[in-house]
Amino acid sequence: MPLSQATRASWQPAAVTTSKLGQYPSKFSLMRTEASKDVEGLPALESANSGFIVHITPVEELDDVRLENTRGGSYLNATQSTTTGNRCTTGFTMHDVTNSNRRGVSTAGHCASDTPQRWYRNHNSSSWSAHVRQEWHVGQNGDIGWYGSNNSLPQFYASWGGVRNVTGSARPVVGQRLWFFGTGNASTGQQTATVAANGNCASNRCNLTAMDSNVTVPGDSGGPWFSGNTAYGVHCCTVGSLSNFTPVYVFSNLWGMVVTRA
Amino acid sequence: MINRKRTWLLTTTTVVLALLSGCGAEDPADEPEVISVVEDDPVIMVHDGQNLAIADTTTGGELQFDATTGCLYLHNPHATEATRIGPLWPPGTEPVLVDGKRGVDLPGAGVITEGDHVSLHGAPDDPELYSEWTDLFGRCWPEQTWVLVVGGPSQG
Repeated sequence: MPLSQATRASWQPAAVTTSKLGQYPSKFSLMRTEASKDVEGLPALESANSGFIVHITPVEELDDVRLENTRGGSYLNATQSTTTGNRCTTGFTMHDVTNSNRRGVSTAGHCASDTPQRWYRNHNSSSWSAHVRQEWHVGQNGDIGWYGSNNSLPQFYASWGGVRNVTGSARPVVGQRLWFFGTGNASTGQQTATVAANGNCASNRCNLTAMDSNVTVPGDSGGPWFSGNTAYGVHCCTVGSLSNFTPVYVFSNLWGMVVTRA
Repeated sequence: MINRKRTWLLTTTTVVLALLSGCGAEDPADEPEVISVVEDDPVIMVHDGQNLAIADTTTGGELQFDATTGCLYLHNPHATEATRIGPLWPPGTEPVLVDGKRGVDLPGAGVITEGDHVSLHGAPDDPELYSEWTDLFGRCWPEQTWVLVVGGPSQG
């Protein structure tokens, strides 16, 4: 039986959102791109190298908008709640080396597959910002996705409130010890496990790296696997009581997206 | 009052396949099925806890019973596409009938029945990812039903 593959790629219209908390103006764009500064007001801009249509929403009252500086290891939830609803974690900030308009935060593909918009929040903040799904994949290449963000920093939370710069990325090696952080459980912090196998498959998700223990909980999906300042992967799932993640190089292979470095 | 069903009465694909094959030691049918159908009231599907990926996120919805198929499903009206979700329950889950309401006894959570709003460990997947089980899922869910591999209740 051939492996199934579900891939979605789209450029969403810029978000026009009413904040539930009232901290934002009633109408604004959270997906304002560098391109939109130049062509604001135009209905659409065709990307030169991708063939995608980029829809532009006029930016109103932007001076009053407080956009979060996005990092890996932060909340990326379906609602503005840290404890209820569908909850995920950001992995690392990423960008396309050939197209500066394509930048944002990574997460698991299954976090994006049915959620076109998610809410981002830093650890020591009470503000949520909306982010629009850009691409996702769950299948033969792994379980990855990313949401747009123009305010991404080359950093991730390695523990609660513990910001760390990203200086590189690498492929996981069997026997190597890695560390993890996710927002799934407020009472647990940084976790660690050893790489048990690469190229694992489960539920027709392949290209997964399996660790030697289960150190993750619901809400950790998409969270960063790392060693020191080096990015290794974004968390996927639990398979047979072992934590599994997708290596970050898959983002580059699929979409030309690389981890943003300090 | 809970009418807890006796497991030896449950017809699973594992039992059927094992009997038909003669139970040889090397027979693949001796291996536990990745997904088993528990034919009871209600009908539920249970995974083996070993071979499927349990997404480390949370999925909420209302447990509902489809009288036509006799199966349970999760209804999430707030979802974009995955409004109807077929749960694959973790090992040890048993169907229950409580005061006329169908449900399951979910390890770590207790009894949940139709009408209950639940938050479960796992994410809805496009059914295309489970194409090898399409025929099995047809027992309970139409093709457009998303699939949720349940790890348990969502409390981390």
